[in-house]
Amino acid sequence: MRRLKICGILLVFLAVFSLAGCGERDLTKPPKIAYGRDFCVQCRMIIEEERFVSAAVTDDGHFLKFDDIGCLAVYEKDQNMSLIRSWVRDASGGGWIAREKALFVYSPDLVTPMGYGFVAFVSDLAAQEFAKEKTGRLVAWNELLNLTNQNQLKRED
Amino acid sequence: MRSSPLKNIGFALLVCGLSCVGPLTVQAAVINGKVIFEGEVPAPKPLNFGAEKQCAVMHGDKMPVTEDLVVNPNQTVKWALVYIKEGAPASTAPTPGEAVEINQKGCMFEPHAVVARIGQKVIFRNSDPLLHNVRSESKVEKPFNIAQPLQDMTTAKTFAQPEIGIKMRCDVHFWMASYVHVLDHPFYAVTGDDGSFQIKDLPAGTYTIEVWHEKLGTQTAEITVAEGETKTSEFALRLS
Repeated sequence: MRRLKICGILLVFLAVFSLAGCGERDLTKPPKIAYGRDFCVQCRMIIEEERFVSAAVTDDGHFLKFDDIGCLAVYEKDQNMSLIRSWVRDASGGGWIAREKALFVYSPDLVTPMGYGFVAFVSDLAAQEFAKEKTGRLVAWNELLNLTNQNQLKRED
Repeated sequence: MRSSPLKNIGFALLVCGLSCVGPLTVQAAVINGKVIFEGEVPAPKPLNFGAEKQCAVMHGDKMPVTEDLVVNPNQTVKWALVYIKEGAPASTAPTPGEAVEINQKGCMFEPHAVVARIGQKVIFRNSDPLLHNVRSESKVEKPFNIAQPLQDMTTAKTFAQPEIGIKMRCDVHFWMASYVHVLDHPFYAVTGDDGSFQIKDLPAGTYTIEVWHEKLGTQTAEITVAEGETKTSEFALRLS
């Protein structure tokens, strides 16, 4: 009898904890990134620089974190995964942007974690100005996917 | 009253002479010294390359030792930074144009410690035909983590604020580490194979000198130097 009681209490606890866990996983919002601790799911490097970070959620409800926008693109291309949502960071400090709303700048001079040279903006003006400053150009997502094959030998901030 | 032409010529020569000599030259002071290791010297530890055979192969039968604590044969410490911590005059010396380079070679960072001035380029080079990355553990600047997947790849970075002991790591090869020190003045030295240091071109004054070592910690000393004077200072560090 006593054993049953204990098992019952444990089950209640388990149910409460698992429900609380589910509450935190809002798949419509990007995940929290623990800088200096989280790993990029594509290149396995520790995520350090906020401005190049991206994230996605798979159709089976898994959050994915990337240290470089190029890593998100390569993951999408190579894994052939169905990503139901993806986000990138606004390099002007405006927080997360849905990937389809972001404007991407490509510059071979930009030192990004994996050397892909992409950065995202929400503002067209900010994107244009950054592209001019870094001798880069605005690229659409499809072009960005193709550009992930390039890697610069010499990079400089 | 008219001045004589001779007088005018003499005055002109005097002015010219003074301007050629310029202001009185100030003799700079120098601080020399050594960083001594106190206590029993630990035996050098050979680097453990783990399962990374490609790294071990690059060294043949001459396996390198760890560089986190190198005690020289004369009982001095290698790779210690000695710098003016307080009292450094505002430097008029421009930021050096030449870059400081750290090479990822043989699955090690070479050299183990460097100093860069604010705004001076620090170039990270991968000389190995292997993937390396450089992850900074800066506490002042925003940390970065960059991959260097290709041989001869270089990445240049600059630092905007002074910071002592920024650890650079390669996460692919856990043993790889080096230190970048960023200073806003040129009064520093990193000890080498004889553990000595020299800080030159100092104006007369009182300075706080600090020695910093990743394993042995820090130690400071206050030193007053007169114009043109050369002083000697010794630091003794031990494992705590």
